[in-house]
Amino acid sequence: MSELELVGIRKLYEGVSRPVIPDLALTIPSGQMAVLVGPSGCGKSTTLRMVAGLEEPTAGTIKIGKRDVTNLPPAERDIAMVVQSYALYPHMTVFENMAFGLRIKHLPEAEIRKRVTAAADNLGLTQYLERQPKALSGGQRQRVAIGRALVRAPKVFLFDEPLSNLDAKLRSDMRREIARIHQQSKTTSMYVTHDQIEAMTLADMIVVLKDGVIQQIGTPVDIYERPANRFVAGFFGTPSMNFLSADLTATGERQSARGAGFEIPLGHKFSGAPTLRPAKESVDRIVVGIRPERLSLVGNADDVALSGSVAMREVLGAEVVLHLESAAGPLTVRTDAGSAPRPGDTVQVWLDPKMVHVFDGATELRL
Amino acid sequence: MITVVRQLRDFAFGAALAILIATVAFVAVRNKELAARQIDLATRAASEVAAARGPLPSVDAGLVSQPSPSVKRPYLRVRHVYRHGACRQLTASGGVNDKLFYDAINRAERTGVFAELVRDGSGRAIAVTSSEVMTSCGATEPTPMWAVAVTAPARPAPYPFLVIIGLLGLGIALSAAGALLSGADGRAARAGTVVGIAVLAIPCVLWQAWVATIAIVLVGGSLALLQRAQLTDRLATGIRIHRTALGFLAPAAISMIVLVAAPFVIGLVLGFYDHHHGTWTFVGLHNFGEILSGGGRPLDDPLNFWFILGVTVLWTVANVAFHVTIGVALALLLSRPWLRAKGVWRMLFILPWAVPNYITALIWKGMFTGEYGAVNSLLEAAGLDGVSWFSSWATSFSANVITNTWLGFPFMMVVALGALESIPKELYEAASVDGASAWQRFRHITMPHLRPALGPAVALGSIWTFNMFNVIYLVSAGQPGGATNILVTDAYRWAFERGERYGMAAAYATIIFGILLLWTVFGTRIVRSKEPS
Amino acid sequence: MSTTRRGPNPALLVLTYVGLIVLCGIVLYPVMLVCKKAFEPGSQFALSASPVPTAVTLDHFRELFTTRGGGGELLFLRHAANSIVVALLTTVVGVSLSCTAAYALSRFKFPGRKTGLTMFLVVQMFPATLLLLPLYVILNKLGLLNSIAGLVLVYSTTAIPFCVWTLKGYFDSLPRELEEAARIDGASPWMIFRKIILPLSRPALSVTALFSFMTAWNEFIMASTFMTNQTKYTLPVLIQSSVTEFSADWGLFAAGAVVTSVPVMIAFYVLQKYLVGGLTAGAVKG
Repeated sequence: MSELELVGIRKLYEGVSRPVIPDLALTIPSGQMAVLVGPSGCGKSTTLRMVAGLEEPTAGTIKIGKRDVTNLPPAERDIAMVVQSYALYPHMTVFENMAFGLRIKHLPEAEIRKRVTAAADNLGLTQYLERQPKALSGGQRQRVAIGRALVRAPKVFLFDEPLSNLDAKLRSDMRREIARIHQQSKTTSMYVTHDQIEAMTLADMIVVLKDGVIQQIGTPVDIYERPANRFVAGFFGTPSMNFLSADLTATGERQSARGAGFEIPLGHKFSGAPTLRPAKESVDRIVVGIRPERLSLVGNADDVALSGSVAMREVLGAEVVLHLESAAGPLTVRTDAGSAPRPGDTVQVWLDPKMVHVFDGATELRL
Repeated sequence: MITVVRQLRDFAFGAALAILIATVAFVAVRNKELAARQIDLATRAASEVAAARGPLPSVDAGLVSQPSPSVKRPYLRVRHVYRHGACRQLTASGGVNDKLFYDAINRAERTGVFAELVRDGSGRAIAVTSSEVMTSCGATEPTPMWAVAVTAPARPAPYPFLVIIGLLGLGIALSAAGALLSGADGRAARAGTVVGIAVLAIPCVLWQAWVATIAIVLVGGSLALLQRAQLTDRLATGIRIHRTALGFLAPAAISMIVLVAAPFVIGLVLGFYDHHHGTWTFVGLHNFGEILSGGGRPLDDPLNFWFILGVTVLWTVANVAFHVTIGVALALLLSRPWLRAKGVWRMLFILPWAVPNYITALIWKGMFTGEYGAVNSLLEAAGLDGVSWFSSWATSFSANVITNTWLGFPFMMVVALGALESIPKELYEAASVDGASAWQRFRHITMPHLRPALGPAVALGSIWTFNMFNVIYLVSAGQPGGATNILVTDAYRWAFERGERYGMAAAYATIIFGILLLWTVFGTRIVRSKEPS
Repeated sequence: MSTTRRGPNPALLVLTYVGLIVLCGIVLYPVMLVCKKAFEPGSQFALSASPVPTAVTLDHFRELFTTRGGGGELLFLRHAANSIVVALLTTVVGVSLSCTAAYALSRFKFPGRKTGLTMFLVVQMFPATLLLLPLYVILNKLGLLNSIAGLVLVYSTTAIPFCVWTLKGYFDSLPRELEEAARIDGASPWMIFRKIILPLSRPALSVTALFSFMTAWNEFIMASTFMTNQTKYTLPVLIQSSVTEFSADWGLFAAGAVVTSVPVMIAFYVLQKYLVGGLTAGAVKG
């Protein structure tokens, strides 16, 4: 089928000492949409362009459907790409833009017409077919770009931050469009973005990149609920996760995280905890993570309490975000609107110990 | 291991070059040989006729008289020719040779006897010599005649296609054999290359074209050396990798080689020859010596190279100074924010740039010429005396400078305007608020922005002014006595007005090019380094 | 030096305008003189310094257009035809041979690219008059003196580098994403050039063509040197020949100058805003 496989990919630019991508391996199963996320400069666009054939990897191979395309030019890879700036041919009509790739392959005119009109129908572009790109809005242009990729019926779709030029409302509309089209076509896709919401909503699998190194690969739920390291945990979720420094202490068989003003029992979760250490009075630095929505103003039986004073309060309509200053550091809490505390108040927030994430203080990996 | 295919690929390249060299040699040799043969024949035939012996076969020769009044129209002078024992008037309808005879005799009377190839490419030669024979053909009593002979047309030897093809085949076989016999070190292959190419030098040996022979052998040797260094493979791979780019580049690159590089090299080479009446003689560095030593003339003589160089430098400096001053001043005026109708002013002031510059030159020439030329009339209207502009060096030079300034300042003005428009107004406003005076604002805001734009403009402008042919040639025409010539016009005159001294002109042009090159490399660096860092 | 608070010093204002008017007068005077001469009877130039004609006549224009040459053809039209043909061919040759090279220099990386760019720049800066003599000798040998083809070849020596530099500057400004999209769509480099780049470059191609045409139209010295047969003269040579040392008919000259220059001057004004753009690359000649 059209599985996309990257093995041993390395990219080094001339004159730069550190490789942008040291050693990347990734397999996208056929028919799945993989979203590459990460901060600017993490190498996600570079990876995409290497798959497209617009840049050459310094080392490594790229295979599409078991076919080695590493040394093939883009034209021969049977791929299609949608980019941030749409890259529509300004001097051609919408129809011609979409037909361009098919004309090059010398498809019969009837077939071209059939495919283009079908794609146009699918994307709601039928009445624009004879217009030129400059007569279209941003959203419409992006649709044309998607349509141009669709008609080619390639083995792999590539998306390079296609929605970054659109405003917020348009972005969510187009997100749904892309999701719908992916459902329909079931083409293997690689989607690059720095927006975690796009990643969460569109992806079958998320690939988190930082400095050219894959931090974690997983489904959106995996990434959110079980982040592999502190970076991934902090990247996803708005507002981002609270991180508290603590020491891992063990009293007999019971371990707990002890920090400034709190102690959170950790149960037997971490039997393989840090290094070989007798499970006695041992101290190790860890970082405890708790998502803002998991902190509550109302406590249950086994919950642990943290107290702090409200520094700021952001009203978001249905919810309120409280920024607290506590002994353990700044805390962000998401809670319902209503009887929310005011700035200056001292409050207690409760967390369920089963809901915390624990990361090694040094390696930042999940424990 | 050098495979046969790669060997033949390398051979193809070398063979193409070798055949090119051989062909050039062939053309040179056969033309020279043909010319020598024909001229010799013509000369001998003319001598025979001059001595009143019979004409040689296949040569049209006869005796031509002095001009005498025509019978029918006494005010016209005609000549007569005595040929095959018959006397006839020399007219245009008498056949094409008649006209040749006529022109040749006229020329001989002016500049003396000669023998050369007829310049119509037919391969005929014509020779004129004086004769002691006297006939009464064309006169009432016997008068001395001229003897002239024109040979029949001759085709030069045809190109030996079969020979070349045969040798090519032999070369292919030899180099392929070398590749097949070769071991891992490739020595036999390289030997095959050398021998295969050298085979193509054989005809050059037969033609006694030694330069070509050596050149071809060198080609073979160099190719083998390149093969040894594996450069041929790398070159071929490089060409293959970049074939798209090279393909795109090819039309313009080939045109440039043919239209610019070749004439440039030829110009360089011609400088080592002297050209006289259609023949070229090798004189080595004589031309360069003569030019650079000033031709043995005093320093203020216009035929002295250094004098002209001085004039040219003065010309360039004066013009560029004026252009920049006027251009920048106007640009400053035109960028006053309170000035109205800026667009109109700008349009008017670039008018001199829009006028074709030869027309400008001719107009100004008309204005400077004569007692009642426009400039003189204006001077007199202002109460000053008129000037004979082209009779003294200073006024003639000034006339040229005035003309060139008129047509050159718009360029600097436009560049300066562009630079000024790019200065953000906020800089000036902040400086005013800080208390800077107008002069300080000019010095610290305006000038630093002007310099980077004016740098390249001055560099370009100086080169264009240095080579401004039309103004000098058409306005002062070098007067008085060639003293306002600049280098390019002087070079032109050597070629086309001082007796076709093409060799001198070519050497001159090479020297000018050298000067320009030095200026481009060093001078412009100096101009640009004057910018504040 | 802008005083944005108060107006300018009134003395400065007056001085500036007066200065501008005077300079304008100097700039316009020769042009007005020649226009006057075109309409004033007589073949002498400027019997008076006034730019206003004392009498108006169309004789010079009539003479310009109706003079017949040795073979009975209309002289002016014949030379105009020569000029048009030469300029047109130069333009076509210049632009068509240069556009692919300009694209290669803009987009492709290959060894020798920098040298190539410098070479084209250098050739463009140095005057063609240096090559005048070798070209003359070569054309003579090839029998191409006195021929339109020869002159076009000679003009192409400067037309091609100019076109390459100007077009390259324009191609540099086209966004690369379009070409990348076309590559992914499967187009070969040649197809990309023909179907995407060229259609998008129409303005630059037109401007370059027009500049080449104007340069060839205005060229004097090479036409004068290479065309020795009177029937082959181009307009500049014709015009110059009407005011030689021996016989000067300034009326005819003025009429010819006006007729020849007005079209290119109009074209120049239309294009003048493109001139400065190429200057930073050192590409544009006046």
